[in-house]
Amino acid sequence: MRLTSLCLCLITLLPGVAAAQDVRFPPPSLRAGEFRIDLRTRFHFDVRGLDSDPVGKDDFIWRRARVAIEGRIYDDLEYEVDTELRDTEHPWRDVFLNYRRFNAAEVRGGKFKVPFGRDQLTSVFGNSFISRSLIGAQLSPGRDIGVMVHGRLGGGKMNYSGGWFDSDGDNVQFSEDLEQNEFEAAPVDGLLAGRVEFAPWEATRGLARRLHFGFDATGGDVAPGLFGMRGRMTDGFVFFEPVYVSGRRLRLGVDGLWTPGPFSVQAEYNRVSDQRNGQGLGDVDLPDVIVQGWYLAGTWVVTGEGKSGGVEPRHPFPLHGAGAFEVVARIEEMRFGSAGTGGEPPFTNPRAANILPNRDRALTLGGNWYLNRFGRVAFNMVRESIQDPLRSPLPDRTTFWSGTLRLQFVM
Amino acid sequence: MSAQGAAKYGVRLVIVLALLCAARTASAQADEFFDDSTVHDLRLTLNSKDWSALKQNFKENIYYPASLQAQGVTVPNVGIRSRGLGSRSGTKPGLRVDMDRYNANQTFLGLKSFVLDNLVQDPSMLRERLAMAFFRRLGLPAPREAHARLFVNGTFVGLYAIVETIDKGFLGRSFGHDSHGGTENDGYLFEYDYTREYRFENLGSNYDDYKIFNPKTHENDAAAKIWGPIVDMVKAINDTPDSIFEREVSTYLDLTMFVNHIAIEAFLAEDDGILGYAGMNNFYFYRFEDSKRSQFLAWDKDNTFHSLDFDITKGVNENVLARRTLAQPQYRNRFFQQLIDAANSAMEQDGEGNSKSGPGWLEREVTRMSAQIRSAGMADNLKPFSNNEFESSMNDLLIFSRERADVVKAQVSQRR
Repeated sequence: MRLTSLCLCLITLLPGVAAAQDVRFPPPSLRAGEFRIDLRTRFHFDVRGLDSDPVGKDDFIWRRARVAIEGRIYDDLEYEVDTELRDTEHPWRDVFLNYRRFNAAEVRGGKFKVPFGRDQLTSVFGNSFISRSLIGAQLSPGRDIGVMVHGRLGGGKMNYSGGWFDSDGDNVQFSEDLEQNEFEAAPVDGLLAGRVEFAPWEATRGLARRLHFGFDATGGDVAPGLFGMRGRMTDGFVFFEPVYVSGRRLRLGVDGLWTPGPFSVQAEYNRVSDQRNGQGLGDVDLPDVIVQGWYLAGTWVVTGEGKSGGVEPRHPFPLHGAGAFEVVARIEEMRFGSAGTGGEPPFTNPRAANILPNRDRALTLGGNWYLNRFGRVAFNMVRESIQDPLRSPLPDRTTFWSGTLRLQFVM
Repeated sequence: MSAQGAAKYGVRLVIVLALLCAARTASAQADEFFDDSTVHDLRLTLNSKDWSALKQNFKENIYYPASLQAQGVTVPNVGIRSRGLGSRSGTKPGLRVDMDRYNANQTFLGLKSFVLDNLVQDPSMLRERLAMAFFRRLGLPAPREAHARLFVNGTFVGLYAIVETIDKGFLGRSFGHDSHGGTENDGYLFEYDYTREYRFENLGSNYDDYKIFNPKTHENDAAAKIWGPIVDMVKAINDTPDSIFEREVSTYLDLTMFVNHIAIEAFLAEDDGILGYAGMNNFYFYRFEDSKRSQFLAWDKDNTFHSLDFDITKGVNENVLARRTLAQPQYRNRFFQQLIDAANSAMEQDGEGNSKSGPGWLEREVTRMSAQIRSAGMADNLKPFSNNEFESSMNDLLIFSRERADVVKAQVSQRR
């Protein structure tokens, strides 16, 4: 049944895509003097099966339907308004103005991604994997309203961005996956965030040319309450409930990306610490709660196209060839615990000095079929294992499989 | 047996003995916790915001972490929540204390949980403990209880009753060994959740209609395994002809134990029990391992000692099970005999050769318990009644304890 429906979708989608790539028209664009508007549309349709949800509530999902306009007002002022049509409660994604007179110091204001986390800062439409990494989706702040200075220095060897944001980002509040639950936002009164990225061999011609390193950090004060980070599996199941926090929330991250030819290797480590001032039994201070995680991802475009900047098939499907094929793999982990024991054995309660740890470890294997520059079919199988069987989706089971087939259309 | 085999056997023996000793020690310590010769001191330490939140949200079963100090032991990170039906209070909350809420292996003196009854429905603050003691005295399983002064974050918040939870530990202690030589505690345990008037009328075969029997063990089993035997039992209670009623219903219920139970409730003038004024209430129901047979277990006896002349057959005709069971001569006789036994037990003299005109067991208990809790009860400023009402209600119990036996015997001789 699923396969039949998927085939029907493909048959419906492909003629349009084929026609589009044959004509090779650019996205709709309107220019009037110094004023330019480009229209972008992007869609994701998923077929998903969850081992942890035998009922199978998520069989067929229109995951994303994004429409954006972007462009320039005069030469120095860029703008973007990006909206998710399926999300009636929080439809606005990126809504910002960017003043770009000086390459070394551009200024952006509005709603956009807080500069933290390589995976989170990569568009979900340009990501080689169907789901973001656990840390990219949950530990990075995501979007918020703020002001940021960013720029390029040293001939592109160093990019930086830093700014002030209204709160702690929308990732702690709701997921990009609209099928998942929405949570109360942590009341953070102002977030400072910064990121620097180095490409030290950018100007060389060797293999190291495509090597990038990033370092990032955010800091903000969280109001007292049950506002600790929560741990969600890829299907949204909460394997770690939030704990009481109060005080400084500090995020630190380091990442790297190497894209030699058709290959890519990407890795990232994030750590979030939350203070718990006065949150213990008898109002005592507790050791910080620590959330940390990492991933290591590799991709290979087996048809040989370059990976850097996105895969565009040399022989677009169906008129000029079979498109491009890519295999992908990612291993990752995200774990929750406390910085100290407080002299106690571990407990699961939200005021425990010694928090009983739990972690999600995931292995993703899959592939991408880049039909042409508009269409992509992706397939991912994810094996997740939860450390604590009492906090896993099904009693006494710790390992779960899920599979997702995605159709992507971007224009 | 080889030397190696003997050594292996010896090690196993030592381990088994050590485990038995540990179990015995925990059991002995739990006995001390329920020792009713003293008023205990219990201390809970919570985050101050949580205690306020618990009192504010007293109608909800939200758990809050706390540390418990009692019997010289500190148990960190227990879970406490507001509890009760009519006794829920935001001023003096009744509490359920779960040792294993945040660590599945944590126990306190071998207990996984206990209840702190806020005693707000009983001006004497004695009824619950006294009634349960009487059930146990007459050989029916009932929770152990003792009084306690409760301190939260160092502040005295009232006089409470510590009530043993009806759980696997209680079942094992009450029923001993099962047919396989193991502990009889792995059957299906239900708490009767009062939602409306119900007296064992046939509700049909939809399991959802029997979810008033709220499973406390095997909760994840198939509905047919959980409620199927209850549906069959209710059908048998309602549809079986009189001639085969005992044989058929005995498949599902120990009818003698049922009759004993309602007879003790009748003696204690329980108006909110199995034959309660508004339908059945305040009991647990245990279906034994590998069996269809079940037994009622006493719970929440704040409304006993209703009145001295309480009718011993009140509610019998309205309740299908009681009416049909007592229509059988042998069970009707058993019912009256249990009432006589209860009356005799209540009036039993102490074993020290005192004169026959001395106070009976029930009166001695009321006197002893009243003296024991008087000062803590007077100091309890959060109880919803005055100290005069407290004193007066204890006095009512004293009168009841002296005169109820004669009243019951007179009613039995009239109706036999």
